[in-house]
Amino acid sequence: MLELQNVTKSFGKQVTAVADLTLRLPAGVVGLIGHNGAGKTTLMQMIATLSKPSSGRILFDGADIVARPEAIRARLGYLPQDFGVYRNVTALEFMQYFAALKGVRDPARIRRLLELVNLHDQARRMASTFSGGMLRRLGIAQALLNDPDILVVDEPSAGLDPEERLRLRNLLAELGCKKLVILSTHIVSDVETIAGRLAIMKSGRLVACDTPDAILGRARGQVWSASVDAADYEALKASTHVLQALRQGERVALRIAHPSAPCAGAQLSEPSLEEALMAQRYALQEAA
Amino acid sequence: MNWHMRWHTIRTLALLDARVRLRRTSTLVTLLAVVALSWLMIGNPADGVTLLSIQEARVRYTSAALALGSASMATLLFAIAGFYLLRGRMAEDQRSGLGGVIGASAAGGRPFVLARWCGGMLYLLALIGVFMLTVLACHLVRGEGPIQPLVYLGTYLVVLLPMALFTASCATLCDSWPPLMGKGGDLLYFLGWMGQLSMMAAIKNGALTSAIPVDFMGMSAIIAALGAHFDIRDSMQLGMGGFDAALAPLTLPVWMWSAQTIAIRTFTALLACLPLWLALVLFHRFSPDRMKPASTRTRRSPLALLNGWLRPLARLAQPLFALAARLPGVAGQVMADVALTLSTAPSSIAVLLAAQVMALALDARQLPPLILACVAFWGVLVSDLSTRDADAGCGAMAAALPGGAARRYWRQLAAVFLLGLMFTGVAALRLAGTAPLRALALLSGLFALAAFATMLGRTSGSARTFLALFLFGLYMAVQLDTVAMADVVGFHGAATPLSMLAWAGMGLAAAWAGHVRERWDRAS
Repeated sequence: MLELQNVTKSFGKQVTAVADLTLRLPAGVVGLIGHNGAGKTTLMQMIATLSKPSSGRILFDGADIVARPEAIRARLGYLPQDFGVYRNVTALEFMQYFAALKGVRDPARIRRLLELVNLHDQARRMASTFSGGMLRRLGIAQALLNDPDILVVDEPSAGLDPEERLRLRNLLAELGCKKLVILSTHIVSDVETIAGRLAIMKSGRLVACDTPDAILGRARGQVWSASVDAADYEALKASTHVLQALRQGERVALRIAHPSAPCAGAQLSEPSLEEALMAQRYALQEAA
Repeated sequence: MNWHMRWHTIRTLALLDARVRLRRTSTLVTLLAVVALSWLMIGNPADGVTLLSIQEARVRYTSAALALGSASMATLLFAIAGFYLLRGRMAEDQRSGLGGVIGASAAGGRPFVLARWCGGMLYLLALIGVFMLTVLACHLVRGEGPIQPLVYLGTYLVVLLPMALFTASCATLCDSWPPLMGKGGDLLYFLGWMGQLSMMAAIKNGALTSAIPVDFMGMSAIIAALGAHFDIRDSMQLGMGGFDAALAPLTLPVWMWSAQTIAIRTFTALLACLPLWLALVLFHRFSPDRMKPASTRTRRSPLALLNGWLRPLARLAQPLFALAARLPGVAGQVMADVALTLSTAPSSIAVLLAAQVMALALDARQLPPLILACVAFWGVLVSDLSTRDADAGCGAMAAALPGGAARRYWRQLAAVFLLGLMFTGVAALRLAGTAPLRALALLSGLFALAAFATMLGRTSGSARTFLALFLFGLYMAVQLDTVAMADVVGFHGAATPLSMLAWAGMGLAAAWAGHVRERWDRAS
């Protein structure tokens, strides 16, 4: 169980990247969602013990990892958003190096993990010649070396092709059955099928933390579909939150977030998770 | 693009480049080293040391003497340190992904290279300017005549300008032509620098006079200027040294430079720009065909080519990885760093093996040169050990491991020291039997160098800060064979227990400074 209690991270007096965030995370996949600059990466860096909160506590199984970071490091797997590999090192040597740093003694584990991420045939190839997708898979294998209880992965699907993205999703879902997997992204489709809970961040604050079903439930009755002509579309754009617009000949097919019917002929629609999140964001903006 | 636009582009890029370089921590570190060095080399005659002596007689600290003496030291330092500080900007562009953006932009390749060269020159001139200000401050304290700024400026222009042009041109060429990018270019330049020093010795002895126009460091001009006024054939000492206090001090003329010397130096300055011309012609423009994949690029550089050929030797590092996995805690992590260092540079495994064989086979009297060669290789090898995580983009991953960033710093220091022991250990053990003091000096020196390598890498974020100072220090150490403090690793046998303690103390201070910086970074 990971607990964040009133965690704040400020850079100087001007910038507060994470503000008074409180959260309890049991095992399972948690999707950390927010737009760029929402504070996701800063939060993950604090969980990964790379930086310390300005105030607040982070507890892992009851141990304060801000005061004693070693309490989590041996049980942590971390893959940052941007990472690389050493030059002139094969994938196998890269794994051996990190295995030694993590105190992993079983050489068979390296082989198993390379198989898991489908890189076993490339083990003796220079890692610096890998494609972006292969590199990210190698990074995942590295993060899993010590069989971590908590896996923190920041934007893991960036640069992956659809097939690799699907494989990664399945792998994380499988891991999430037993462990805590914290996965940050701003691509909702990456988490909607695997995350048990979604933590939504905005401007450093946690604005919601719930199951995808609950978030969808809250958005039901607020997403509308309509078909309008171009002139009406311009008017609607100014007065409502248009989620999607698709030109169909002379008319425009719209999906709109609004508490009541936005125009004549508008029909209530079942929201997608992305639409539900957008509707929630707009509702929050209006409430503010 | 018309000329006005080109000039505007070059000016903007050059100023930006100079600003980027000046903001680096490595610049601050180098400036501090330059300030310390300039005060150290202008010894206080009251203490029995002087910057310049001829036939054992001290030369008065007039503007001409201090300008000449300091320029001769500055040319040695900036020719090597300047190169390592200047180069690497295009590799940064490539790493950050901006290389592709620049390559696809409307900026012409030649104006871009020219702007980089101008930025480098501005930076180098700024460093030289700070050096000159420090010497002027020293003149205020120890000088024996009025400060004549024009004498300083004129001397620096004659001696240092061709050197600065050559250094900036070579750095630009090594950044612009893929075969010279990486350590291959570093090594080649260092060999060239050593060649210039050898040439200087030959010119002083009256040989190789036809090579004077390619003496970019300007030592031939200094020798010619002094030779025109004094008999310097038998005894002349530049740089800190002793003198005979019984002899009357000499005074240099205010202006030392003949029209012929100025003409030759002007020609040398033109020749110094030849590498820049090559850079303009050979610029890669961040073309993926020439710079990617990394394996293709690195195999073209001589050192990378050698490492490519010796790649099978990397398997010899496998047992070290296995050992690292078995060793508990920090010991295992240190061994992992050692294993990674050797496997990424298989040539180091070949050198390591050869060093062991030679250390066993050579006569004890031949061990010091072997130790010198091993220390030189080791210094180059480990210069990037504390920066490689950040260079490779593995910094965050490695900092989240057991021990975190703080332990990483100490384990990297331990790995650098352990590698030093691996290269020199057998020779040191043999030396311990016959010259235990030398063996102890080697230990304290290796520790101090390891601490400086790790601290400078950590604080400046660049391997080249240590590399430049290490190579310059190595040269000074080889030259000053009777100075105890210069005998850092004991290959002259001049080190004393006091000098060893001093180096060990400086090593500890450097190690602690790096640790404080590490903590500061984490807290902020």
